[in-house]
Amino acid sequence: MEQYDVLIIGAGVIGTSIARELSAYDLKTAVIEKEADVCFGISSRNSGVVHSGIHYAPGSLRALHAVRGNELFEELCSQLTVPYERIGKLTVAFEESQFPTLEKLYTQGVENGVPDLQIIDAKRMQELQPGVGGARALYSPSTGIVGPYELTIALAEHAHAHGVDFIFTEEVVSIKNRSDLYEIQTKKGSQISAKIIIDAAGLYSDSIAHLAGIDSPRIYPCRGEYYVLDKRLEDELQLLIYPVPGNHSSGLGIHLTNTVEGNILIGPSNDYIENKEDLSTTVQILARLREEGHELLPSLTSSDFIRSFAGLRPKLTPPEVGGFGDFIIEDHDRFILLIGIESPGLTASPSIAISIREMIANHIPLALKKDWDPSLTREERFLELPEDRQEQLIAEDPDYGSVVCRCEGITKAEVLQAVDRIMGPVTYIGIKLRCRAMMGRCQGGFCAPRIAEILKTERDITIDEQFYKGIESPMFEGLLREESPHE
Amino acid sequence: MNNDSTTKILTCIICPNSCRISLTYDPDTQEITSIHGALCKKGKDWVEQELFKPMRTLCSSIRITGGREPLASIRTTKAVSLSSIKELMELIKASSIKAPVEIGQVVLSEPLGLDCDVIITRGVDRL
Amino acid sequence: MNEKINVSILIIGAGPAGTAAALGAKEAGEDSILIIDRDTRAGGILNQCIHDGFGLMRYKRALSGPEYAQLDIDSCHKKNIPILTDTYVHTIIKGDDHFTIKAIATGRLYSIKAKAVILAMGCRERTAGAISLPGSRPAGIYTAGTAQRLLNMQNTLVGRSCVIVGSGDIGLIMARRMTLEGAKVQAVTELQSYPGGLDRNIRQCLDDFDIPLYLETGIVSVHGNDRVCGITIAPLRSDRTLDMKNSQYITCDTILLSVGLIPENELSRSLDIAIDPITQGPIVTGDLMTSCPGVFACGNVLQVHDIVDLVSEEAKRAGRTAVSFVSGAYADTKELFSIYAGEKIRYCVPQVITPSSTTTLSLRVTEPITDATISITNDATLIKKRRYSFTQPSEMIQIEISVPENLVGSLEVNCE
Ligand SMILES: Cc1cc2nc3c(=O)[nH]c(=O)nc-3n(C[C@H](O)[C@H](O)[C@H](O)COP(=O)(O)OP(=O)(O)OC[C@H]3O[C@@H](n4cnc5c(N)ncnc54)[C@H](O)[C@@H]3O)c2cc1C
Ligand SMILES: Cc1cc2nc3c(=O)[nH]c(=O)nc-3n(C[C@H](O)[C@H](O)[C@H](O)COP(=O)(O)OP(=O)(O)OC[C@H]3O[C@@H](n4cnc5c(N)ncnc54)[C@H](O)[C@@H]3O)c2cc1C
Ligand code: SF4
Repeated sequence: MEQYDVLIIGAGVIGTSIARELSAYDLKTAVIEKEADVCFGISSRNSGVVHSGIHYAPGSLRALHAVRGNELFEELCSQLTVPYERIGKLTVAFEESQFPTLEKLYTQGVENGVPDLQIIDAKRMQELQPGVGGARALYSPSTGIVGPYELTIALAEHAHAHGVDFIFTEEVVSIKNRSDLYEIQTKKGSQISAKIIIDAAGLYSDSIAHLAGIDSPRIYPCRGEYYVLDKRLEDELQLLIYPVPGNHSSGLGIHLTNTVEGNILIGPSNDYIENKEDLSTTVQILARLREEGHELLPSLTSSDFIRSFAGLRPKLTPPEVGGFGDFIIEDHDRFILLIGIESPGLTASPSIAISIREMIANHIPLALKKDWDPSLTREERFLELPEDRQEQLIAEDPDYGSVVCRCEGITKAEVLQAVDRIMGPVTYIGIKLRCRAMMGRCQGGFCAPRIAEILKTERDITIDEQFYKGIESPMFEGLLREESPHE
Repeated sequence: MNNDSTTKILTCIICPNSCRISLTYDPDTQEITSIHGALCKKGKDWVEQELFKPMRTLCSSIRITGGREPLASIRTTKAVSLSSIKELMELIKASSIKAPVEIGQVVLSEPLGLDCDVIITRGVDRL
Repeated sequence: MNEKINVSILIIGAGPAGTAAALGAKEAGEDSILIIDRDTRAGGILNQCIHDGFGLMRYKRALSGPEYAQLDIDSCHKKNIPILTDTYVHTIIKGDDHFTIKAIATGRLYSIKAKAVILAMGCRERTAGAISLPGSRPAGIYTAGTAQRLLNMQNTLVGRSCVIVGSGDIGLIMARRMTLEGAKVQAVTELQSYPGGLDRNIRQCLDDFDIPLYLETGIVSVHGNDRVCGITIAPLRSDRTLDMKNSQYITCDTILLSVGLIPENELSRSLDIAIDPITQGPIVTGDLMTSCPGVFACGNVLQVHDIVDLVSEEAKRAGRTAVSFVSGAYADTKELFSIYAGEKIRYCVPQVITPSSTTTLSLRVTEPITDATISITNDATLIKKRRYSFTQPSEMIQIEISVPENLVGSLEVNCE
C-alpha cells in the first residue's frame, strides 16, 4: 500500500493550489482524482474572475481569502505563465435608490482591505467603458480575469515537477481512520494511506467527509449556465460590468464577462438542481441568455454564440434560503475539510493553500526544499510570436508550420506538446484545455478529424482508443473498413 | 377491376430545376394517364421510371492498401436499381485495392451482373 | 525558412472557387497567379462530397465531388498555375499598392506580395453552440460535415445509431451514407415547416431508406454524460415554443448537426471588409470586389451555394475582374448604387452595382412560394421580371441583368 504524508482528494483549483504549495516542502504528497484529468470539475466551469473582495461580510473566510488571494494572483500567474489581466470592474447603480448599496459595498470593501476603491460618476464611467448605462458606480481596479483551466493545469504541472504524485481515474469510496494513518480505498480497489487527508472534492466534499465519519453539512448543487461568444466581439467590453446586487435588472441579473482569451461570456444563471452530474444547458435559460445578450450587446448576431456550458456551485445554503454561506475550512484530527468553496473559490485558492499548509504544519514539521523553483515557463502561442522566433522554432520543429486548429491558430507541434503534457489518459478535452484546439468558433469541426489523425499516426493511439473525456467516452465507433496494423 | 386513378407529385431530381411533376396513373395496370409540370422530356421519362423501378447511382468508398489515404471514393458508372444497392454495398465493403488508383479506374466490372462498372472518383497515391 | 514570393494575384483557397478564379484570371491574360490551400489536397469541400450530382449544368453529367474538382485542378496544372497545399494563410496586410500575405506550411514561413487577392476560403458549419443545442455535452455530437470528412476521407465511423438535427443538404447526404454503411439513422428533425436541403436529396437520401423527417420540431435536450445516449425532441406550437406534451425520446449514440453554413470570413474581417449581416459574406459590387479595393470574393466565402457549377461560374468572373483591376483597366471612381432585397427576398448578391454594367444577381426567397414572380425595379422602372412555377429558400435563383445608365436611388428586388 502506497503511503503518503498528505493525500489531497480532488484535482480542481483548490486541490492543485494546495499541491503546489506543499511541493515546496519535504513531504510525500499525492493528489487523487476520479476523472481522467485535472480541472474536469467546477474549476473549468466558472467566470474566471479574480474578485476584489467587496461583496463579502467583513471577518468571513470569503472576505479574508478573496482579498489575500487577489493580492497573490499577479505574481502567481507570472510565475506559472498563466494568462491574467487586472482589468477592473464597475458595479453599477442605475437609480438613486441604489446609491446606498454602493456606499455600503464601498465601506465593506475598505474594511476588507480591498485596495483603490472609488465611487465614480457617469462621466468617469463613460471614460472607462464608452456607452455604459447607469448613474454611478463602484470602481474596483483590483478585479482581474484569469484563465481558470490554464491556472489549474499549470499548478498541477508545477506540483508534479516538484515531486507531487497525481493519480487519475480513481474514485475514493472509503476512508478509514487508523489512529495515526488514514486508509483509503478506491472504486477500482486500490489502497492508499496517508497521515493527512485534504478533502478538496468540490461538489462531493460532503460525501468524502461522511466517508471519514465526519459530520459535515450537505452541499446543494446550483447550476449556472453560460454562453461563450465569438472573439470578434472582444473590443466591446473594456472591463467587467455588474449591476448592483439586489436584482434591479429584470431577468436573471446575469452579466457579460471578459475572458483572457477574448471571448465574452454571458451568464451565469442561478438554479438549484438535484443531480451533481447534471451539466445540461436548458432551452429556457439559453433563450433568456440570448435575449439578455442582445440587450447588452446590440451588435450580437446568431453566429456569435459559439457554445454554451454550465457549472455547478457547491452551495451550503438550501434553495429555500438562497444567498451565500461562508467557506468551511476545518481540521478534524488530520482530516482537513474544505466545503462550500463556491465563488470566490478561484480567487481564494492561493490564499486557502497557504492556510492549509499552516494547518498541516501543526501535525508534521515542514522543511522547505532547497531546489524549489517557483516558476514554470511556457512558450507563447506560435502564431503570436515575432517572426524571427517563428523562423527559429520552425527550423527546429517543422510541425510548427502545420496548422491544425484554424480558428485558434494552433499548430501540430503545439497539439503534440499538449498531448505529451497530459499526466493521465489522453482525452480530447485534455488536449483542448491545454492548447485551445477545438475551442474556437468551429468547436472542433475542422480540427477534431485532424487531431484524430495525429493521435493515430504520431502517438499510436488507434481510433478505438480515442476518448472525449474518459474511457467511458469513446469519440468514434471505429473504422469503416478494416485497416491492417502493419501498413 | 376498378378504374380509380392515383395522383402523385414527384420532384424531378435529374437537374437542379427540380420540376414538380404531377402524374396520374392506374395503380392496377400501372398505366400512366397524364404527366404535368416537367420542363423537359428527360423529366417525363424519369417519373415513369421513378414510380415503378427507381434507379440510383451508388457512391461509396473502397479500402485502399498501401496508399497515402486509407480510402478512395467510388461510384457506379450508371444508375442501378435501388433494390440492388444493398447487395452491391456488401460487395464493396468486402473489397480492397492496392494503391495507386486513379480517377476513372474500374475497380469492379459489371458487379453482380449489373449493367455498370464501379469506378474510382478520387485517386490515391502510393505511400 | 522564410520564403518571399511576388505575384499579381493571390488566391486563398483551392476549392472549386479558387481553382476556377485562377482559370478565369489566366484566360483574361494574367500569368502571375498563385493559389494557396491549407488542406493536403486541392479541391476543398468537394473532396469529401463523394456523392454524385455535381456538374450537371457545366458538364451535363452527374459527377461526384472529387471528380468535379479534379477537372479544374488538372486545368490549373496544365496551364502552369501553381497550387501550394498544406499552407495556411493567417494574415493579410494592406499596403499602399499591394497586399502582404503571411502563410505557414510544414517547415516554412511565407511572405507573399500580391497586387490583388481573391478570397475563396469557403465556409464552415454552424455548431451546437450556434443553435443553442440544449442538454449535456457528451462525446458523439458532430457537425454533419465533420462526420462526412471522418467517414469519407479518414475511414472513421462516428456512430451506429444517430439522429440528424437540421435538414440541410450535408445532413441528408450523411443520412444516406451512414445508412449504406450499416448505421441506423433514426430521424431527421427540422425547425422550419419545409426542409433546408434540396428536394432531390430528400427523395434519394431519406425516402429511399424510410428515414422519417420531422418538420417544425425542436430539440428539448441531449442526454448522456460520457457518450450521447439519446435526444428528446418536441413539435413546435404555432407560437414557435416547444410542445412538451408531445415530446419524444429517441435512443441514439450520435447526433449530427446540419444546421447551416457560415462563410469563413475571419481574414476578410481583419482587412475591415464590410460584411453583409444576412449572407455573412463580404458586400460586393457586380464585379465581385469587396469594400477593400483589390480584394475580390467568390464561392462559399461570398454566399453559401448549393450548386457547385454556379460557384465555378462566379469564381471565373472574379478572376477576370481581378485581372482588370491589376492591369489598371479598372475605374474605381464609378458611382455605386445599392440593391435592396425587398418583399420575400432574403438576400441579393451583389449588394452594390455600377450603372451601365451587366451582372448576375444571386438571390434566395424567404419561404417556399408557388407561382412566384421576381421583379427588379429602379424607381418604378421595371428592369427585369422572371416567373417561377415554384421556388424555395434552398434553391439559389440567378438572374442576369443589364443595369441602365441612369439610376435613381437603389435597385429593388421583390417577389410576389
Ligand atoms: C457558475 C460558477 C461561476 C463561478 N465564478 C467564479 C469567479 O468568477 N471567480 C471565482 O473566484 N470563483 C468562481 N466560482 C467558484 C470557483 O469556480 C470554485 O470555487 C472553484 O473552482 C472550486 O474548486 P474546487 O477545486 O474546490 O472544485 P473542483 O474543481 O470541482 O474540484 C474537485 C475535484 O474533486 C474530484 N472528486 C470529487 N469526488 C471525488 C472522489 N470521491 N474521489 C476522487 N476525486 C473526487 C472532482 O472530480 C473534482 O475534479 C464560480 C463557480 C461557479 C459554479
Ligand atoms: C455536403 C455538401 C454537399 C453538396 N452537394 C452538392 C451537389 O450535390 N451538387 C452541387 O452542385 N453542389 C453541391 N454542394 C455545393 C458546392 O460543393 C460548394 O458550394 C462548393 O464546393 C464551394 O466551393 P468553394 O471553393 O467556395 O469552397 P470550398 O470547397 O470550401 O473551398 C475552400 C478552400 O479554402 C481553403 N481555405 C480556407 N481558409 C484558408 C486559409 N486561411 N488558408 C489557406 N486555405 C484556406 C480550404 O482549405 C478549402 O480548400 C455541396 C456542398 C456541400 C458542403
Ligand atoms: S423535368 Fe427536366 S428541367 Fe425539370 S428538373 Fe427534370 S430534368 Fe430538369
